[in-house]
Amino acid sequence: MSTINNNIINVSQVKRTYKTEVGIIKKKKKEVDALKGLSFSVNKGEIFGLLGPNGAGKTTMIKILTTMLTPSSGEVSVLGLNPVTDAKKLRPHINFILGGERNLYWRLSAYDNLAYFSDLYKIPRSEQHGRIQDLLELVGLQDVAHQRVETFSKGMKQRLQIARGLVNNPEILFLDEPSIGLDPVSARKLREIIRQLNDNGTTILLTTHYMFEADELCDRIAFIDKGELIEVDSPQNIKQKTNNVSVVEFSVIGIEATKIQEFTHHPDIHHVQFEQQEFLTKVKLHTTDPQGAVPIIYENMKGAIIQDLSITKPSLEDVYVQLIGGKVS
Amino acid sequence: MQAVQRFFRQSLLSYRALFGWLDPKVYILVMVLSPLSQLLFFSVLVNYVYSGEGLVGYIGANALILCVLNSVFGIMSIITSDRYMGTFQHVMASPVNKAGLFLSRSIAHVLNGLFTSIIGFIFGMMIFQISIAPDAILLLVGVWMVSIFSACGLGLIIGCFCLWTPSMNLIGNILASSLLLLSGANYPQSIMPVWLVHFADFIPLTRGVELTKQILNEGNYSNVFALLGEEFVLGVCFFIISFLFIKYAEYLSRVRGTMDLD
Ligand SMILES: Nc1ncnc2c1ncn2[C@@H]1O[C@H](COP(=O)(O)OP(=O)(O)OP(=O)(O)O)[C@@H](O)[C@H]1O
Ligand SMILES: [Mg+2]
Repeated sequence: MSTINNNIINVSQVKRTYKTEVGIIKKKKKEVDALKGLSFSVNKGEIFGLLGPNGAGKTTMIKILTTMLTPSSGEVSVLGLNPVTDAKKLRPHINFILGGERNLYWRLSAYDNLAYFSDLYKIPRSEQHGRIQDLLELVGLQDVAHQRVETFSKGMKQRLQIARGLVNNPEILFLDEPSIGLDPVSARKLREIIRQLNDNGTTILLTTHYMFEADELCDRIAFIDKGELIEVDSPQNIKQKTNNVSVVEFSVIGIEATKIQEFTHHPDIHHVQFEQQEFLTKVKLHTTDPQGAVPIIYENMKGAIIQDLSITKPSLEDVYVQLIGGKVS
Repeated sequence: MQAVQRFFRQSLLSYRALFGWLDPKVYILVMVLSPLSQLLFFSVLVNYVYSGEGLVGYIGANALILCVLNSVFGIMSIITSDRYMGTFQHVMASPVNKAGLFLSRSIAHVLNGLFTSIIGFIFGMMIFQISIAPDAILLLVGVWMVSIFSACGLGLIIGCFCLWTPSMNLIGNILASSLLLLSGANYPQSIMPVWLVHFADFIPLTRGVELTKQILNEGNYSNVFALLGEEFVLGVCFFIISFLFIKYAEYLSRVRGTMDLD
């Protein structure tokens, strides 16, 4: 080894094209470039977030890193191994979890699910029992260990999935939208588990659509869009990059959308976002000059009722929306 | 030793996980009553048509076929239900040896088939009040075991087809009726067109059915080892082909990206 390298995942210029056939009789070949030369690296011990809109290529990237898909071109290394050619060597050291309720044997108990997957990862029987108990405790399912999974709630299934992903004590755990569909309390519990795992030395790469979750959990974040890297940095730094930008938020009653759109013409207002609700419209403006913007708002909205006006620092979500564009869902 | 234990635990757990018919009520209904009623139908029919000639052989052959079909459906579920539950990709991306895994998953279904065909045969003998020579029993168990093994190999191949098409039931039904048609369980093979007889050489159960009839009707044990050897080789070929199919599916999914294993 010539240099000490802290990167345990290295992705360099990775492209992936999907070829599909559309039409039943006249088959037309269609190509989708899911990844268009993506590069980033993940350090040992990090929680790394892969964020981006639907179809950005997050799942595709995770599939490549977990040996389930090969890149069309580019270099990938995970734990110093190539997931394409060294898949057999790599698999015992990593694991992955796909969000949602599936990916478990519903007819088996929580315990048997973990035993089954322990066998798939060739964990010696002598270690299995203790390990499975520990995992069930970690995810808070020790009391229902011998209950069939089909009787579990979504949150319980998702936590069991986490335990499943840990049967081989992986050095890197990949999580694709682990918190999808969870209530706020369950989602928080999940974050605690992820943090605890990370404290014990597991490197984590996750995707999520919840910006506050990424902000809270991740050491570093990569924003990707349409298969391209937009930004990679710590949440703090990403937010700092828009340091001089403030977010002005307010609700307004009795105004047309066109009127709100006019704000875009103003030189100090960079970004306008609004959401029509039943009686009122919620508006968000990004501006470098909030002091100047507020009088303009009142000026433009004469006759309308403005409520709940606030000036705040941009959240990660604001930055995301600014960088990637589009509406917040 | 570890590996052997793992092999059998995998076999049992996956049987429960993927098949889910361990509920005794459902098991009896699906695995015993349903084939028994069909067995009864074919036995009565054959008894009528041939006026009881060679009846015991036909009952044996039908018991074998009908119960094996259940096993074959079971073995198809090894792949289809894994996929349905979204666990297939996790299994495929785990370090376990895939051929060993699918073989261990098949074992339970082979034993299952053996168990239900013996029950079916005993049932048939009771209904028609027939008996067989004691020395035929062990031989018959051996013949059936190999036949079921080779049928399960074919079942696994069909299971692989289900990676390409969602209509598992359709394929399963085609398989079921072809086995009934070609194996000669309900009529002598000699009444079939020649080309069909040749074709039947390449499907499992043809030899098993032939041997069952020879053993039970004629007390003729002379062909057992030759035919059984062929049947076993056929079964091994089926399993190898199915493993190649699984490998190909993995290639399509990993490299081409044209198939989703989830
Ligand atoms: N098996 C496939 N065949 C063809 N195209 C695919 C396939 N899988 C993904 N794609 C396409 O590749 C692109 C990236 O998909 P991917 O699933 O990686 O996005 P994602 O970032 O995970 O999105 P989401 O947030 O919705 O999960 C999309 O345009 C998608 O339609
Ligand atoms: Mg995705």
